[in-house]
Amino acid sequence: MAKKINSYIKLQVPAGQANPSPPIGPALGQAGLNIMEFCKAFNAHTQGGEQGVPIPTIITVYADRSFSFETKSPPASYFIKKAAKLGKGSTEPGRDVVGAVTMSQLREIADQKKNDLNSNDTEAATKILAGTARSMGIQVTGT
Amino acid sequence: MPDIDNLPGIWRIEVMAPCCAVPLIERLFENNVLSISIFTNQISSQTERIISILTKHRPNLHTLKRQLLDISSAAELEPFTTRLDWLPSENWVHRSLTFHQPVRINRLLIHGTHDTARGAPIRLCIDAGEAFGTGRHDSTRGCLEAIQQLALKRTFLHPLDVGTGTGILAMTMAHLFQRQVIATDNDPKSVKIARQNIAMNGLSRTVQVLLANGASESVVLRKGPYDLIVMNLLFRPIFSMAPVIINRLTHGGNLILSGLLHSQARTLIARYVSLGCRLEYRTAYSEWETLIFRR
Repeated sequence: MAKKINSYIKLQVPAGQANPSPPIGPALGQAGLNIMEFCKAFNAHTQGGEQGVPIPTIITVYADRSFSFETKSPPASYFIKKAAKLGKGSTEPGRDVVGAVTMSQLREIADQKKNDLNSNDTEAATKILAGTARSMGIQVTGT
Repeated sequence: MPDIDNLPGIWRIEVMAPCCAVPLIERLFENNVLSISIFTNQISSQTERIISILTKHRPNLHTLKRQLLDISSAAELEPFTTRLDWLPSENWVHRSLTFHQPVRINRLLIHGTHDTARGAPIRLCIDAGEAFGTGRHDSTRGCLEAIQQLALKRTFLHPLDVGTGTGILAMTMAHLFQRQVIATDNDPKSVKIARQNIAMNGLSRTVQVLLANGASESVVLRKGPYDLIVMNLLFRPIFSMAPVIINRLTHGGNLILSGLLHSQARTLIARYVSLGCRLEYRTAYSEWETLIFRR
């Protein structure tokens, strides 16, 4: 059927745990989207993976208030913190080193995220991830 | 004065900017905020966007304005209009449902599961979800009106809905004609949603939904011919499917085409007339046209 786009919403939603609290409630509420229908559809779509993992999601809202959404792989920072066994990154990156990851761990992350990273090969993607790790106050070791 | 930072709620930054600046503004915020929404500014112009950013912590407005000024200067654009406001915590589900009030179109009333609608001869329960067709779009309205208009003049024994979405048009035809209706969609998700809606409205015996690409597939051919075909799609598929659609339509049958803009109507009329249809009448809501033909 004809679909005229009204708006796009970009946000991160925990896999399998979408609910009307912020950011979903206010973000979808101001766009006039049916919040519970989105939560139901999103949770069904992400129920197969690890629950609670932040999923970058782009929602397209159409003129008749129906919607579609696409999900991407979790953000690089999530994988890096997980590899370094950290709850959060440094509050003073550059000064304060809070943990470490190895280049081989970053290569594994690059493989998982290669579809979403702006690079043609795993090595280039690994270098991007190393930069992200350092900006979070996480040391990169190994080759 | 209460300390607003300690109250439950959220901060909203709104930036009005030309669409070419949207990626730059998104990049400024993307790692530090809860959500970024991009709306077309309906009031000013089609090329301006409202970028609405939600954040947990109060942003420094001075720094923010400076960063946005840097972006607009670098892109050689006028400075963006920026607004910061506080959204107190509220029942967002309830708020979102205020956008989903029942829609009345002639004898038909469309409402969501959160409403108990009364006072119309035909009621359809449809929630706004992942399939198109809630009755709130002018192209759907045009179709629903045309179906009801035709129903006043004659009855149809074998209707077909191509691109059914939520199933709204097929269910309306099932109510009006009390006959078996065939509905198709090429999107498996829409087929699933349409079947759920049809079951919820107690019409599973009268509406059959098929996963099919247009009307060219053999399953649609086997079930035909049809004396009423309704298509609320887009210009391109309606244009390209013309020979197949007319082939599925009985002589004397009606065809309702919707989902087209004023500027596209003339080309489409010429196409369907050249293939043996006659334009009976046309209706328009805002920029959307609905064409009613007879073979």
